[in-house]
Amino acid sequence: MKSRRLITGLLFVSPWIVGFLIFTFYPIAASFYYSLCDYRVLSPPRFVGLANYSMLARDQYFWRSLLNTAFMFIELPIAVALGIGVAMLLNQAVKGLPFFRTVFYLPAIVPTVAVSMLWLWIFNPDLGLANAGLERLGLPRLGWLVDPTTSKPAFILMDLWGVGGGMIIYLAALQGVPQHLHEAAALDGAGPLQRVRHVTLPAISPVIFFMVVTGMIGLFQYFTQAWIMTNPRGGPEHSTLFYALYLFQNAFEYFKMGYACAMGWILFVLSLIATVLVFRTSARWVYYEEGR
Amino acid sequence: MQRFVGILPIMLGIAAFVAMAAWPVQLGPSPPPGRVVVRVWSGWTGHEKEAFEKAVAAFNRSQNRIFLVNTSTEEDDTKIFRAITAGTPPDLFQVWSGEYVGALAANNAVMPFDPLLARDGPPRKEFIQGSLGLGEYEGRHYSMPYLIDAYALYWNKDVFRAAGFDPEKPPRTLEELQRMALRLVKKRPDGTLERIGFEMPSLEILIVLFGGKFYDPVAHRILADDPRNVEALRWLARMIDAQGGAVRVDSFTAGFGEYASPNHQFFVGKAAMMLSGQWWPSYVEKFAPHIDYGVCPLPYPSEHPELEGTTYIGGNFFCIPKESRHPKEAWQFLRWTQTPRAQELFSSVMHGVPNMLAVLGSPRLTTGSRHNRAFGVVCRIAANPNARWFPATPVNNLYISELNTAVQLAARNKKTPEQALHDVRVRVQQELDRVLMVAPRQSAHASRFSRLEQPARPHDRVTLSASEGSHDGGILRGVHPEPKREILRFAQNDRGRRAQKDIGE
Repeated sequence: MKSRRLITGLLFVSPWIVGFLIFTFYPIAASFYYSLCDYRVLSPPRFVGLANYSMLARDQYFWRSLLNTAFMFIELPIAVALGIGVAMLLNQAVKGLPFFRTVFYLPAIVPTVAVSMLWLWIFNPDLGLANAGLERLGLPRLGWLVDPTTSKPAFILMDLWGVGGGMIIYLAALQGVPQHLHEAAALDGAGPLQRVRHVTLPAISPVIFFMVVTGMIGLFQYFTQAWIMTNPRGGPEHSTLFYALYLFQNAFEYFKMGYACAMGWILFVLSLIATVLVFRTSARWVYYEEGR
Repeated sequence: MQRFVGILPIMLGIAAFVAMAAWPVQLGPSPPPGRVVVRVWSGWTGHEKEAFEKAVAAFNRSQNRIFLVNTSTEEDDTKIFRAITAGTPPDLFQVWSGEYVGALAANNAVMPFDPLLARDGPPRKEFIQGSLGLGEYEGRHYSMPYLIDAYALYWNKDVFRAAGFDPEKPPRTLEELQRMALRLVKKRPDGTLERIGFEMPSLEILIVLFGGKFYDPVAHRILADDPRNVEALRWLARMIDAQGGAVRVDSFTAGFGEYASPNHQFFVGKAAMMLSGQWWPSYVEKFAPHIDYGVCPLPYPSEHPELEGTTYIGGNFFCIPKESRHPKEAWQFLRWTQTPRAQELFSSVMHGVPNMLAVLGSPRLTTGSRHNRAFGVVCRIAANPNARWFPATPVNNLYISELNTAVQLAARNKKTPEQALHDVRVRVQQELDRVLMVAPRQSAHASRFSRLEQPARPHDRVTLSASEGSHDGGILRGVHPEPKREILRFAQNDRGRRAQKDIGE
């Protein structure tokens, strides 16, 4: 009887299992095998062991792209702080609250490609709004995407424009903070800033944890914006050659598929390490309601 | 019974859906019965696609054995590669970015044309030099253009007049070009550019103008740091510097309008002179017929007057994939495209330079309207024996990307031109060595094709025997067995033997 139920259950799940095996597991396993091969796409793969990995270690563009991607991690704390800040502001009872919430959230639903094209023009050094704004404020014009020192900050700025997506999530979390904790703290003499630090932030810390982990994984894979907005690809002096961009070039322009698969697996390992680290340290700063 | 009534419409709906999905549907013109259907993928879109399909229709009308059906890949070459990797490529395809031809050839993904060209193609001397050379890899020819691109210098006569230059006197040497360009640069009070004198071309074109080299096919050596190449890069870096510096120039070019639009920088007076291909007169007529412009051969460096008349040749090429099911029919189409009638027909609507020398001077293409006369100038430029092109190597994408990097670094004074090009050579050579180490063995001889043209000694004769691969001298190596048998079978019959006799003598 039990085995019959097991078989029935498996049968119901089988479409998903088959799909998973064919479209997810097999490509992942194949990419691992290809990372150990010299695979030129148009010819069958040839096993070479760890040659791809050792070539990567000696490739200056690999290290460059890793550094560029690492730089983008500056965006994470800023985005989190900004998201929480805006959410707290929009958690007050002010006039026109729905309007403000909509306005802040709208940028997050614009497709990435459209955002990239829009900001390409905003950042145009001669004609764009960014430099026009700087001039109005009496500040010097910047090269933005054309200047290697400002190209990555330009991307960070563009991403921060879309902070509304995170804001919505933080808003929902803020509304779940128990009111009695705030009152108890106020009775004990805590000012507004102290209440934020000791009541609000710990209360929403699971959500912050979630946003940090997903934000990190997204930053490792930063691609679309750089692909559309930089021409030649990789930006001035390869300052915006991100890891995923270099991987794409290797796989589809230079036909070095084995090399690109090796890059992909290194990215996986790095993301894994980073995620595990965040998980390990989470015990110290994430508070769950069950009183753990 | 009650329960099933509700289900009935749903079942009928599903049945209708499945029937519609499974019903064989023919998109496009249906082939007349009895014809071999040959599928061709081309990259052209919009009005260029219509022009190509006119040519395809003319081919279909001209004979009754083959029916060609065109599908557009929308300029996306990755569709071809996916089809090749999956083993289901079309019978004929066009590579949009010529950089891929070397990789396709090195991986034996496409068939070499040489036996077919030798058998019934036009003699080599009837072609413009670059048209066959562009598809040459390891001595064999893997791609064929329908028409080619040739580059010329265009200048805006209105801007010349306004700046006090004689509009009928374009620069002839690169030094003149530099002097004139610097005088034509216009800056705003805050230092940003309002007009650039000469829009910088890519480094490959400049290397050709300076008489530089890219690749030594016999020794398989990348020649990126050839002294002439260094001269070219130095000139380019100096020009960028003199016209405002790399950051200023990049900021200016970032604000250019779309290429195929009335907002192109040449049309709105933002660029006084530029290098472009033979399609430019047609763009002028289409987007900005009011401007007064001139076209002339590319300038040459004054210390190398023997390079006068050099032009850069490019194009979009057709290749026959190894797994093509109808390579002979695909070849018939390619052969038809190289007839004067087909060349004229396509060139008049597509505005590409005809491959064949005989058609270059055709009155229909080069006389009459302003466009035709400008087009005629470029056609004459294309026939110049000094024409050069970027050779096919398996690492062309990397090569060109690295050349772009070298330009950036040299223009921003991060590296000297020598150092930048030396680094390009080292990196691309490294990659090429890796590729060649594992590429399916190519012919060790530099040019099999030229050997076919020379009188062959008896034991050298290329015998196309029926047995697969044994005595064909390796020419048909890598060809799919099915079409290979067809080719070999053809060689056995009368015409084939006669052609072989011609080759052997």
